[in-house]
Amino acid sequence: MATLRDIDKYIEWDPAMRIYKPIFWRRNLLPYQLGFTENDVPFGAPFTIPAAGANAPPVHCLQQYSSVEGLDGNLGNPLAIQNLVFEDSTDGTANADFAVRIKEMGEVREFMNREVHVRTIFGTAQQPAMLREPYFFVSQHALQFNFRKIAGGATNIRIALNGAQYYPWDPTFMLKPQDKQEIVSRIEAWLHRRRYVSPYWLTTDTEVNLGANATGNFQAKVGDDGHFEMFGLTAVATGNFSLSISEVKTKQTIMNGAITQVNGIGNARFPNIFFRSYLVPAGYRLNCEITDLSGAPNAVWLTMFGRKLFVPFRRLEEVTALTKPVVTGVKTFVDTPTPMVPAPI
Amino acid sequence: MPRVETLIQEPSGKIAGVDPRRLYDLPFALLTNPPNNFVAVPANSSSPLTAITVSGEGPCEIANLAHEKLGECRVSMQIQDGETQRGLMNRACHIDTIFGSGQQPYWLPESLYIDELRSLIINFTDLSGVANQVAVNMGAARYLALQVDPYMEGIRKRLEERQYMATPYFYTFDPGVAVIPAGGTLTSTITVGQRDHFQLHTLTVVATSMAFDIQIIDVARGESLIDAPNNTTRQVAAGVILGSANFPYKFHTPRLINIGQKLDVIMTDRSGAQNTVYLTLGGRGITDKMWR
Repeated sequence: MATLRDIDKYIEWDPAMRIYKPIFWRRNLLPYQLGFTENDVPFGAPFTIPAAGANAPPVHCLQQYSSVEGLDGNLGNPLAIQNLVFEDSTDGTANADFAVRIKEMGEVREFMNREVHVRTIFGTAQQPAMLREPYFFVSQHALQFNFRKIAGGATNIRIALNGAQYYPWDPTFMLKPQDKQEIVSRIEAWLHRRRYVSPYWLTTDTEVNLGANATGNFQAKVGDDGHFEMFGLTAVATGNFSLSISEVKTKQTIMNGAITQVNGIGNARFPNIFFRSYLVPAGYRLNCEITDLSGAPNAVWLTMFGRKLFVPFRRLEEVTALTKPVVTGVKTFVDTPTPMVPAPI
Repeated sequence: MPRVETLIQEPSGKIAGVDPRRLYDLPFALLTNPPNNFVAVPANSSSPLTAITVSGEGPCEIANLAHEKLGECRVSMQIQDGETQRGLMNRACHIDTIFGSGQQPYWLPESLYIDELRSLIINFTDLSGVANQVAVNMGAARYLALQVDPYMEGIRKRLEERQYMATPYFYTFDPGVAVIPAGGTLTSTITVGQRDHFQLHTLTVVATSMAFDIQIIDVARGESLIDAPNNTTRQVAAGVILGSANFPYKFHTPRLINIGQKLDVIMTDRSGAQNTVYLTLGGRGITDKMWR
């Protein structure tokens, strides 16, 4: 029979005292929604993207720093971003038509090779766009957003970067040194991981604008800086289209024909998640053969969502000794209708 | 299918590298063989049998089903193995009960492992009354035979042997469809085949109207499947127990229906009009005796 110990990760059983006790370090890991910094947008106000043809000024999300008496040990209060949400109060969120490019300013970390359509990476509060690799956003760092309206007039938007915020400086830790050590070790693990792994969105190197029933080949280059692990596909387009992806160098395909936007591609709210992720080595190029199926001019915004791995391949002889594969053939999906990647730490 | 983690982590948690075996372990969209990615279905009739072939690169493990179509249709699938065909359903099912969309595919309760150079055979029967086109997409993983890792190859061999012991399976009414008279009650049957036990995982439906009540009874046991076992006379509203391929109703725990058993499905219309119901029980067939 399940007990509170099994279902509540915030408490633990003390067998000596025969009582439940709170796990303090978990109570200092709180949900948090981060929006634009007040330096750019007054609190509660929307950000206005000007009409198509004009670029919006860069706008930022700043991860604040907080501490008490230096108890944070210079770790501040970092945020593990787990999903992205937006609202377009002018055009309507479902019809939002603007592009976005994100980079982290301090580290000049790029999250995409080119701007992507907002509805391929940002979801809604009802269906947030889950990051398959959370992003650990360190205090006093800033994310810069460049928005551009694709068509139509100016629009007002809001965003939220949702996740878990760590508070290693809570004064109650003075009475709980083990809990303090636990939360600090988690943060340090994140700090290690974020050096090597980062969320990434890959799109075609150039914009896709097809004539009626036309076919075009568009390349998406994985930069030389890291490997790209693709978890699935999202797209926004004027009309239906078909897509065939192959790797240019090896000619390896991941489909025996052409999928369509309807049967093989999702959007940020309902992404098409691969049964197995697709690892594309650094410097490789994907060729996307895209055909319009709508019979009218078609603007296609394709986004391949995943993560960038800034870490080299190991030799096969090394890894066979290090790791054992797991078998998934017998696993059913009844209990996991949406195969989501749990937070790795 | 064997699977390895992409990132190699040391026991300390330090990220030590990327596993090169992941280069031989790919996602794959398995489609009807080109140039038939879209299968033409004549109005009110059936399409030709169309092959979905796993090429010689390596075996495939199908995990989910999605589709695009112009109009309503039914779908029938079987595995072709040499001269033998092994069905994956008792009758053709409505496509909207087992094939979802790219955004919300239907995740199979049991993945379907298919060796290289084997085929699935699929065909469609139009229900829309006009010329129809259907494109299916089976979300899969691909294991390239080029890969040379003895441990993974050993696991693959085990799965190869296992593929005849458990496969995804779908049951619909023995007659294929149930038509409930306006305001009336209809009892239809579903008979589990003689080859496999059936483990029921999901219920999906397409109906003229969801305003009907339903009860499913395991005839041999005299037990209800969807209400307290003894309440065989009580029906529940279809809307609380039947989903769609995109959002199937999933049983909290699967239910085993033994080989050759019969289910009675009792339906009462509440819409006041004739109600055509395509019900699909999704799950897996568990082989009673190895057939090869």
